[in-house]
Amino acid sequence: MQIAIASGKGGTGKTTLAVNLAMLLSEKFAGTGQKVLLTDMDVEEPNSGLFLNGELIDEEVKYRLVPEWIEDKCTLCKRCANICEYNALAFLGISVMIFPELCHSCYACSDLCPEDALPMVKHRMGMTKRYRLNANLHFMESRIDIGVEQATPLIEQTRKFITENYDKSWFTILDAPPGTSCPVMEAVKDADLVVLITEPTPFGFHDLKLAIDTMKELKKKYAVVINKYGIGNDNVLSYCQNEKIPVIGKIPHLMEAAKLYSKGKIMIDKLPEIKKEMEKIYSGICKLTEEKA
Amino acid sequence: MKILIAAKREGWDAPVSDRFGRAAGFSLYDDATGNLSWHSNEENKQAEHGVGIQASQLAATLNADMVITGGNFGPKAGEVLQKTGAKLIDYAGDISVKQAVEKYKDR
Repeated sequence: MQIAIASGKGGTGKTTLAVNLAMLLSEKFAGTGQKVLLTDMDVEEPNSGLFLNGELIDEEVKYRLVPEWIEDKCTLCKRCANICEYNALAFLGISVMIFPELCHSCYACSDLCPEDALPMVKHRMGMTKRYRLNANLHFMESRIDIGVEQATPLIEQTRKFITENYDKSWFTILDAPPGTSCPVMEAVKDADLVVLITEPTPFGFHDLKLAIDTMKELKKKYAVVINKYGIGNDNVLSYCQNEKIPVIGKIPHLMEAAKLYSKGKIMIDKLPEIKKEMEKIYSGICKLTEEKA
Repeated sequence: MKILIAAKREGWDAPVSDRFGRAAGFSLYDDATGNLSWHSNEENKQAEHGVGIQASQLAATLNADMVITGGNFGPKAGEVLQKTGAKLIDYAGDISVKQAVEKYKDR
């Protein structure tokens, strides 16, 4: 089971939900053989880890492949520059320049070069770390290096790492990046359900609709959680009711929750109202994915 | 000597473009013939990224000795253009292609 927690707007509570749900499920699954993996997919600003303490399992530098121009082999045919969809190569008549920050590692230039003058070479883009938080809870985060322009390749590698290393006995929770573009689309690719978390304000509502459109486009199953429930207005709720979008949780707006958040603390062990809502969200997820709670 | 000028449209009277990679097109002045030729950038300027690189590639392909824009060259365009060895004139201001050629051709 893999669920992704996403949102259009930033700051609506993706990390709060991801972290607290992961802690709750780890507690719940204790002794059952089922395990929880929490992964921060927001590689540009991973912050789930701020709420967590664990023992480092391993860390790995992540690379992507970018062509390198071999002058001695090149016959200056210009094929590479013509073929590059991303303008990542400049043909200067007597030389070829490569812009790694524009390269999407699609291999077109490298594979189609008749002289093998553009072999793909490794470029560092970031790092992935895994932690053991307790017997049945792993936390993983990928962090992109400063100055690396594209987040998507690192998110893709992280996603594939999960598929290869975590089998069905793991309940995986992905803390997705905000927005509606490539990084979030890549992050949710393998998810069985996307939980869109929003706040009941005009800003939350506006961006929720964009996020819903994105999920429709991706043909993803999705549900909504309203965070800071009690502020703003009822537009999100009535919209979801009219559109028959399941609202699987309403996390109440509490001063105590904000205080805990501001100190980087988990909420479920201190605030029973929040814990109850997390339970509800979990049963909502199970219902929608037809998993036994 | 060939001068490539980022322009808002074709012709001598066209204003110099303050965008380089996303200019409407480029006028190439060849002082050997005194002719001005037009190279549209319509298709390329729609690209999301790398428009400066494409425009600089055009400058290289046309063997421009000087490149003029009304604004600045982006960092990547600057990097490519420097390799071509062309003389770069930025912030040429709100002038026409003709004025730009007259002002800079003897530099």
